[in-house]
Amino acid sequence: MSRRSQARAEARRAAQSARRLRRRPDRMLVSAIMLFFFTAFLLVSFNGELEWEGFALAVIVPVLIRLSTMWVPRLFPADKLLLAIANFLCALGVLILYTTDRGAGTSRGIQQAIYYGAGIIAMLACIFVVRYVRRWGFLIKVVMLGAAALLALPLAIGTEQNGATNWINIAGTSVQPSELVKLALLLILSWFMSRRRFLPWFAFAVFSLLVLMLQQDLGTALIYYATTLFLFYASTGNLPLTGLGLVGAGGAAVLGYMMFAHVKKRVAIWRNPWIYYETSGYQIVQMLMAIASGGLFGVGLGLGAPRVIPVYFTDCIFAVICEQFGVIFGALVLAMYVILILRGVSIASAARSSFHALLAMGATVMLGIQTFIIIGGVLKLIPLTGVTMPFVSYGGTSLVSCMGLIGLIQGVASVNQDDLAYDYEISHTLQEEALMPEADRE
Amino acid sequence: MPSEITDFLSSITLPGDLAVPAEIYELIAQAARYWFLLLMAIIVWRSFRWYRRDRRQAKKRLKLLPDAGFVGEMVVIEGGEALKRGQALPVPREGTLGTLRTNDLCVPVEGVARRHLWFRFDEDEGLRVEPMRGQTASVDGEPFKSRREPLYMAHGSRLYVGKAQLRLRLFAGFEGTGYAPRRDVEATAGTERQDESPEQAQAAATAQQQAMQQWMAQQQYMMQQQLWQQQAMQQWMMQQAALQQAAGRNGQAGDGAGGEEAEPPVRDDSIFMRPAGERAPALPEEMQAAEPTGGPENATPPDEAQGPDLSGGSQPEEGDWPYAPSPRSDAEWEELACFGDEMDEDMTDAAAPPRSAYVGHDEAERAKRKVWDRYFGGGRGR
Repeated sequence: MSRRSQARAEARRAAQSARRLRRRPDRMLVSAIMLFFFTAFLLVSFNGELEWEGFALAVIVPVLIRLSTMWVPRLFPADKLLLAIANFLCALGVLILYTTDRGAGTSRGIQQAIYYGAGIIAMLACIFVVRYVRRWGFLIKVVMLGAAALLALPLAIGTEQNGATNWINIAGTSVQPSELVKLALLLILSWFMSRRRFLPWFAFAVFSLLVLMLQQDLGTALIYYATTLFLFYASTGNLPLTGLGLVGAGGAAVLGYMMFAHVKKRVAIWRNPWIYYETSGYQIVQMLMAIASGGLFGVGLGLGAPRVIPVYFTDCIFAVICEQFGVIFGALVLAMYVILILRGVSIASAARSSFHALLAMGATVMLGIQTFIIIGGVLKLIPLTGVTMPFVSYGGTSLVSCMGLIGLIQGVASVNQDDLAYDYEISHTLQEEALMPEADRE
Repeated sequence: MPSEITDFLSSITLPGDLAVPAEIYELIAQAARYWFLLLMAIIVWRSFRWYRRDRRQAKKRLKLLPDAGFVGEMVVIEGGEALKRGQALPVPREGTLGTLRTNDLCVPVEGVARRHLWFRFDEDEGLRVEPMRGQTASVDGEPFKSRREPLYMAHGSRLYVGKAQLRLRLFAGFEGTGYAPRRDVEATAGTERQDESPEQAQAAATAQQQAMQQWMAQQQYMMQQQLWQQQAMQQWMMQQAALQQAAGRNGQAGDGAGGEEAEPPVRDDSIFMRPAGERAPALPEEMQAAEPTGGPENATPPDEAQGPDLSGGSQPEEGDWPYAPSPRSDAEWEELACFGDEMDEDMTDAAAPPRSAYVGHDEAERAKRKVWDRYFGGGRGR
């Protein structure tokens, strides 16, 4: 082969590798996400009076997405796809809240952007904890005591919001302890279940449920109960007891329906909200109307009347998304959640220890259940319960908690990556040792 | 705090005359719907493809590294009719043992319950074994008493469960867990040693050293043989490639007139079964000196009684014998000096690395000996 043809072949190879590099899925995906939010924030900035916040967000949010998706994995071998999806959903929440802020005199969008930054820090902390803490024996007891105290705190000094006494004020900021205790619950359940110690996790789960019932935080109680039951089945494979737990939950629901008037009312609204259109069914009717008015492609970003829906920024934010972007877009958002959950399950099933597997599975299930409860409620599949839409709904505690859950999954993913790297290292060492001549090995 | 920041930020405004009329914004926003939908579809599609690609890669990886995640194997010593003697059951980091197929270790043997015991690998202690409620098990003759005193299995430990007897062969964790202390053997060995005179002890130590040296020399010899085979094969392949290139250049590629087709060197497996005393043709002097006096490839390491004395309960150091003490006596070893199949009867003395490291079994076997012998199974390579 002549020198020229060799050079040509080399150039072709270099071009091919450059093309392959450009085709890397992470870059493509992150670029698309960045472009989406850059154009969206830019567009919203032109809605009404020009505000520099919109321009700032058009730059800051894509940069934050880029940094947290591409740079965090340089610190830990984290899962980029999971990061990209979580970042996308968080940024979508910031976008929708900022859009609804325009002309309303509120600043939820900017606040949510700040919480988003805090959520990234929480995620890093959770990754760090899962990755580097090896001796959980003592620590888990401290976590358990701290979580129990934190959960019970609203009973003493809590404030009531939307019928539930589950908020406390710390330095002028409202915090919902039950959101933060989710992380502790997962750690406690995973640790004790993996060690086959029944009593500690059972006692904590019962205590948590009782406290949540006392606080009348039924949505969170449902998430706690379902996650505990799922993890119990995942760790023991005991179908009869799990079935018993399901039957018990069903019985409790029936009992609650018969005993409490507000539960009866909620079910009645769910069955036919149009009868109560002007009173208690107003919220669900407005949600359904918003989704219908959006149609397939939506009314357009920043248009429509999202503020007509009560608590449009937390429980009903999915209806706002459907109104502005359309039902197809809404379905694609759901697809993102599905991919996130599938990814979480993959990470859990690749974990080498049952503690890590249960932790990742629990976090995934918790996110999945929460998503199902709120989106099912908005779409009138199930009675509406007051929980937030993960990553998207307004609320610092909720966002930090969801990013913490992602951090737990990411921590497990990074441990998996380490284990895999070790396997490769071993196999390569063995292969090299086997193939290298004796003289080279010395 | 966030509200203070946002209040401050909101106070900064841009000139109002730059505002876009509402009608124009509406037009742009309605047109942009399709742009956002397109971008969203791309995002979902790329995410899904990425997810699917990773799943596919994970499956490939599993094929390439089928032992990934396993810490060792339970080799069946006695398993009734259901389990053949010598059959290896891969041991994950954690799992259950029982007769049900859903168990990680399915042992359908009389006396074993559906879910009999639970095990978990601890890097410091070994494989922790804990029978389920109402079940019993013993490790190296020591029965399970309570959850406060769990049983730990090390490399070479024997697990007695029902009528089954399994021996653990660890792939990992040598540096932490060492080898099986074999409490039953250790106890008797301790008393015997007390009765020994200093001369006897000295002689025994020398014998141990000699046996070990001989076994190591044998391993080196086999490794060298295998390397030569590999090199010969590589040479032959290179020759073939050169011939084909030459043929192609001369335009004679099709008719095979480029020369005689060279025969590949036949792998001489017989070298591994070479009878005692027979020498390989080109064995270097130092290797000749160390050539074994007999034995096939999978020569079993000498009995622990002949190896360095590790029975004091200390962790094995580098260079120490990593394997579990053999249950056989010196006399039995002498009887088995033919190095037949019986030699590695329970298949635990040949410490095997994960098969996953290799595509072919031969390569695995070859590398197993090279690396494991080099490190005496005592290092994880890092």
